[in-house]
Amino acid sequence: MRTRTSRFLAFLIGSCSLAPALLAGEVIFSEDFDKTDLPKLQTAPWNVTAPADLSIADEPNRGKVLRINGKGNGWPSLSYTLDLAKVRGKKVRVAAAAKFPGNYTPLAGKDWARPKLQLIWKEKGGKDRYAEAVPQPNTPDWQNLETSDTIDKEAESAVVFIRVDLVAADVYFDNFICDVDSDGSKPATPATPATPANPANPPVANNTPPAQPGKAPAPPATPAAPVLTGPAAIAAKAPKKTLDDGGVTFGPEIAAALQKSIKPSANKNTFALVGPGLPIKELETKTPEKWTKVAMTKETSGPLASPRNLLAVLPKFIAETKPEVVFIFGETAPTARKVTHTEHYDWEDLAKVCIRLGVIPVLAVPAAQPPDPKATEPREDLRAVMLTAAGDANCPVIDLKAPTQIPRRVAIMVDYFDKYVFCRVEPETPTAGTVKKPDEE
Amino acid sequence: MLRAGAFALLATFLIGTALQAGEEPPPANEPPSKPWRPFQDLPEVLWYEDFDTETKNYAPGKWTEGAPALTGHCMELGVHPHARNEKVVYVEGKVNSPLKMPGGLNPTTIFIQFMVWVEDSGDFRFKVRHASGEYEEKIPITKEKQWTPFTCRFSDLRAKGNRVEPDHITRSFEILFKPRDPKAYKKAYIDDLVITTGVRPPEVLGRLMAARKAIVDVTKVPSKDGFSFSVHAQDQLKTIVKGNKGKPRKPKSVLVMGARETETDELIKALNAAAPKIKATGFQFVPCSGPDELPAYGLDDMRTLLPFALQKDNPEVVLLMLSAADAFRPGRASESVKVILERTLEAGAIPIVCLPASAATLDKKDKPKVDGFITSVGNVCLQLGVPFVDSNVAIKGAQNPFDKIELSSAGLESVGGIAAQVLKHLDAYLFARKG
Repeated sequence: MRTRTSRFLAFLIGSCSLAPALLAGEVIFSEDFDKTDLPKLQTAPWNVTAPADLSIADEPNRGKVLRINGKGNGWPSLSYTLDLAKVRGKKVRVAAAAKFPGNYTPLAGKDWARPKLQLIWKEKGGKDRYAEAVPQPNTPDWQNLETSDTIDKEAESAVVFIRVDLVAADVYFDNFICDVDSDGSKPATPATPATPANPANPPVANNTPPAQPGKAPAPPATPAAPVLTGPAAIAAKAPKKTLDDGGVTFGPEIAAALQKSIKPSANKNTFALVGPGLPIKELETKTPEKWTKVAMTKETSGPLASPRNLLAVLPKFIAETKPEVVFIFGETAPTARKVTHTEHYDWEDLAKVCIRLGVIPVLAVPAAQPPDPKATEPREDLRAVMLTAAGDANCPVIDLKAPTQIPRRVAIMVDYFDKYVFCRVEPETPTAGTVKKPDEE
Repeated sequence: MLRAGAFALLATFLIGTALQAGEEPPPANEPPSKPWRPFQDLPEVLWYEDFDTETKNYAPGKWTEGAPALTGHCMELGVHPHARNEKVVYVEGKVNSPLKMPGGLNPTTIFIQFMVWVEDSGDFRFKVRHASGEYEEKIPITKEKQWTPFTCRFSDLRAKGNRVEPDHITRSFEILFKPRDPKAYKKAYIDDLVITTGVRPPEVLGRLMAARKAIVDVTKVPSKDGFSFSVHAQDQLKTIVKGNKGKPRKPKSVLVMGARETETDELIKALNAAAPKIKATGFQFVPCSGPDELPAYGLDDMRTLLPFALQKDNPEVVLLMLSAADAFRPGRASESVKVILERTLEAGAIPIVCLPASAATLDKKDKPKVDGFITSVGNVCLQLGVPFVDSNVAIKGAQNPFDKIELSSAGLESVGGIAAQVLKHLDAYLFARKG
């Protein structure tokens, strides 16, 4: 029976103690399901899909919570359509507590079909962008989920969900909260120093813990913020790098995603160079310390290895050579090959086929080509095409702009993989700035 | 003498200038391209419609099966919206093809003919619209309830202040009927519309019907046959097959890729059972697998591993089964399908797409997504000339064809039956193999 003001104060207190990140911004909504019913949640900006699968349930020591009992034949969800005027150009964070005591049967080839907390926003032009956090099954305790993303200034829509996609699963949700942070600051991530665990099968961690608003004082059954351990914690420590900051893209999200894709069958500390942009003379003489380069073939490197041709031969090459990492090089110099308007799918699928086969892909992206004054029609730029592909495949990138820096960037990248993906080097170990020559091996 | 020389010089200069200013003549070694015709082997035929296959090109006409058509179908004229005082019925045919009529042809050599059947006598009009106007020919029809020919020349078409010029290009035409008693709608039907140049329609009708039969034999319509194939598709795919001559693919080898892990084997089982029943023999069905020999299936693997499997197994045909769940994937799934098909065609293999079926149990909000996905993938297939199986038609008559929103074993069996028919059809018409 708390008043709205006292609930907000409680939210602030809860936020201060448990999730400082959620204090920084403006709260868009905070729903604890204590004083609402499903019909109210079916009016805009709220929306309910498959209402028969949703119900408000009593939870001991917690009050009322939302139960989604998916039957496996639809997409039951509760969603909230965000006001674009409030979120454009800002970082939106969404959090919820979830309890998933049971399990579900994953659908083959559809990892996304499961319970989740999700933020979907649409880019100008209609392309959907996703951020999500998933509850772990067989967990009788409440788990904290949080995800965030920066909404583009020209975004066309943004919606947040709690949902159960396509699988039969009985999940409880509470404290569904969304806030917006105009300064784009990164939420604090409380993580303890982690011990490298089995990197081939890392536990799936929740994201940073959300607040427990409107639930003060916290009942004993409600856990405190989770403590991240193992490879997930190490991935969370990965440095956020962009092409403008060091000539590589990397970060916690990429590291966490790559941890899930790697397979133990690869040859340790080996990498392959493939793609039409090879050979690159700077890489002929220098390789990263402790890493071995697998032999190149004419089908996988050089002019014959156009992205579409490479897609046909790369799986066999990977199966035979078993590298841990594959660097895929776009052409740095103009060639007769014309970049097509669908080529980004080829580069994306090259990265994804590596992931599918348990190998880490890195797209090596050339500098933008200067506009051709004689061109009669707009030309696709390979750099833009490859960067789009890397974004869609969520894979790391190295910049080929400065040729002398290429060996160093390759070395930095494999160092990051050693530390934050394979978890076999302490993250605090200084990054190797030098590379060895092949004859030093 | 001097005046004559100067005149000759001036004439030469003027002619030379005129030639330079005019359209550049085509190089001598390049023959002028042939004008478009609906039947390549019958250049004298500009237009033919027997209404034997369902068409929406003649709005607001009603495609009618049986009587009064002697065999097959005919077209009933529809109500004209702007003729309330006079009960006129009509159809409008739009020129959606590259046909240019007259387009430089002599209008006196263009003949228009179609059969008409009317409940009540009255006037038939054939009206043509071009960029800057319209003209028409009116012929009274006195014979009721029997088929009568309407025949005229293009040059007969007239309108006040507007007459046929050879350089006009027809955009659309209307066939209108005003009954003797204009206060009541009277039924009127048309059939066998033929427009020819250089010869009268009866002179070419025999060859025309033979050519049309060949097209009807090749053409398969999803609503009737359960799968789609057309002359246009055949032409596009023949180019792919011809391109393989240097490195032929394994004849009658079919790579099968299901949407789910168990689906590939179920499809292969269904194909092996269905093919002999329709005398589609000699086919070898190969399950798609990755370099690790593990099964490859689903849209993601179609994008990432299919190019490899095409190289490894060298199949002639690839059977791709899509899933209803693909409609809910992030991004535009039909774009993914398009990329997969383009790559397959580029590799020289012929894809066959099995569209997902739309389960009745789908949620009200989800059904439009699945239906939209089916439509978009169907359109992609039509655009690329790729044959596709309409699973919604294929599963008609199957018992319990769905397992939740996806096809059950019974549903897959039905789809496999239609897919076997597609293979037999491709064998006969695309690969031109007998038996």
